[in-house]
Amino acid sequence: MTRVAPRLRVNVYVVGGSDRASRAVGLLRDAANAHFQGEVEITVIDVTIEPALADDAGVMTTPTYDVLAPLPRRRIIGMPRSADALAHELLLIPMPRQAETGPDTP
Amino acid sequence: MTIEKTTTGIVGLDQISHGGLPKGRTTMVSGSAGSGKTVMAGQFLVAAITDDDAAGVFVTFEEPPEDIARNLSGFGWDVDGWIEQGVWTFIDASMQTEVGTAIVGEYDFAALMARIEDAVRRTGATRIVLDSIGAVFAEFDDTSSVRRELHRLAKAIARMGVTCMVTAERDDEYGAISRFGVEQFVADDVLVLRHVLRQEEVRRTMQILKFRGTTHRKGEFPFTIDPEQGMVVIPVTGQTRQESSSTERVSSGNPVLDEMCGGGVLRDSIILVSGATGTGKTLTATTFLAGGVAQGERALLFGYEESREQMFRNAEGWGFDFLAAEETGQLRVVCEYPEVRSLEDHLLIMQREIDEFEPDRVALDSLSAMEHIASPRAFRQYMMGVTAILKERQITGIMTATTPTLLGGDSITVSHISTLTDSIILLRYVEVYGEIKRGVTVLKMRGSAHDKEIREVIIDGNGMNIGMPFRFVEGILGGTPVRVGQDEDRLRGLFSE
Repeated sequence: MTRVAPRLRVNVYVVGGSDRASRAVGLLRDAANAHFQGEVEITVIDVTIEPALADDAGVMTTPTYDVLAPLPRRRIIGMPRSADALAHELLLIPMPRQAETGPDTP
Repeated sequence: MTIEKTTTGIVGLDQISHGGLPKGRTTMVSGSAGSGKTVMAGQFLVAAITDDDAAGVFVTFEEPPEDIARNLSGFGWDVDGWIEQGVWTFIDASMQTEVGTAIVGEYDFAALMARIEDAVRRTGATRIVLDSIGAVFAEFDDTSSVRRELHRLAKAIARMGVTCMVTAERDDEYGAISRFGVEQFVADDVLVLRHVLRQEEVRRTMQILKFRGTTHRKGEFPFTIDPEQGMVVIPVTGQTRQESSSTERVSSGNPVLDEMCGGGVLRDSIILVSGATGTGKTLTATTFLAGGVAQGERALLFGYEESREQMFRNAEGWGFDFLAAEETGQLRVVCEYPEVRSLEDHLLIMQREIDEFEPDRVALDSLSAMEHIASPRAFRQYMMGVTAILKERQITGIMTATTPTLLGGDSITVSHISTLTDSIILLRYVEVYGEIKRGVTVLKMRGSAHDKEIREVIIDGNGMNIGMPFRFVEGILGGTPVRVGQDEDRLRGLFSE
């Protein structure tokens, strides 16, 4: 039986051009590649250029990952510690104790 | 350097803040739940539109915009219409509960800042309101990050050159200024709203705690939230005391009483009529109003003890036709039960009625009914408000107060307010030869000589008939009249004036 990876759709709100923005987006791409086999749709929204989009979504903070899929819809706020930690949040799987302190291995 | 101020749109607040909130700065409004923060914030924005002809931005952290718009529209503010015109912008920062959030690391409020900046730029807003900051702390439990971010937000807003009002919760009416101690890093100016339950009565007050580098009035000022005007602050003690004192005399409605007062009462004076139940206080007030009407003046009666029907029936019994006077537009009778609203609201309604009717004389029957619903301090402030309203407009005022004991005795009401009144007329029961009689005397009359005798009053279908002074009796005021000999006449001669 072949396991079908869930499709990932995320809008990520950042302040464009900042180091934090590239790190936030980079972590998301790493997590997506490792756990969603690239079946992903990532939209990066620069709040300084498109404040109206942030307004429509009611987003206050950056970085904010607005997770549209997999369900349930939810928001992940703040800079994740690692791509792995972010992946666990996206998949709603609690991080194992060791993984929190262990090396970053996707 | 003087700090420019911007009008708040809140009646009375501009007075106690010496012109409004400091322009281009952030003022924090702190208060416990239900103290009126959101109404105040909304009203502050309304003034941007109606007074400045500009625009405003309302950032809500707590209630959804629709709820706020609906609540504010209750005051007659067309928020939805203003949104359509683009002069009122809501920024919804109330975290949607239907979407779960997880905080995984460090964050900033750059998105919110960008949204605010965009709204200000787009609409040309001059005022921003953030309501209320406590909700942010509830959403993000990392207090120090929230503090840092709010501080940055406040700085960014300051750079935009807009005047900002931030609301914050407090737990204790007289404790820390705000929960989480946000005031010192978000605001230059702090204002506190209180609503305190004391003696079963809710009292709302406002206090300006600090205005950096500029002046304001100190102390707590009562305010009310009125369905027509929104928040209204009553700047009690600050009312101008520059009323010119008139020496013109007007009739009290009774020729003998006029004589006792040295030829009538002074035009802009406040008269207190004090007496036990049934001594003729309401009659004195009624006579006073009827006397005004007979001279072509306009008279306004506030009845707090009896219904309209009772008032009219009483007047009829004493030979005054209130109905006819009302038909000619010379008389207005406002009857209300004191318990239906707070003293501040009563004061507001009184002011509104007076401004609308523009009376020459006003009667208030009775103060004791009002006193029962308030603490002594609130009552005194109310009295100061009443006298200020009347004096400012040079209206002759008469108020009645009930003494608790039948014979003699002073009431608490009287001792509290006697300094605020210009004249005091005492009505007393007098027991002579096993008979109860009524007596009247003028105890005090500012700025005039007056009769000091105690005279008998007979009440009949013609109203009040003041007769001869009581002779051979003393101790009436003390409540224990004693018959004295004829020598009394000789003694009186010794101290004649």
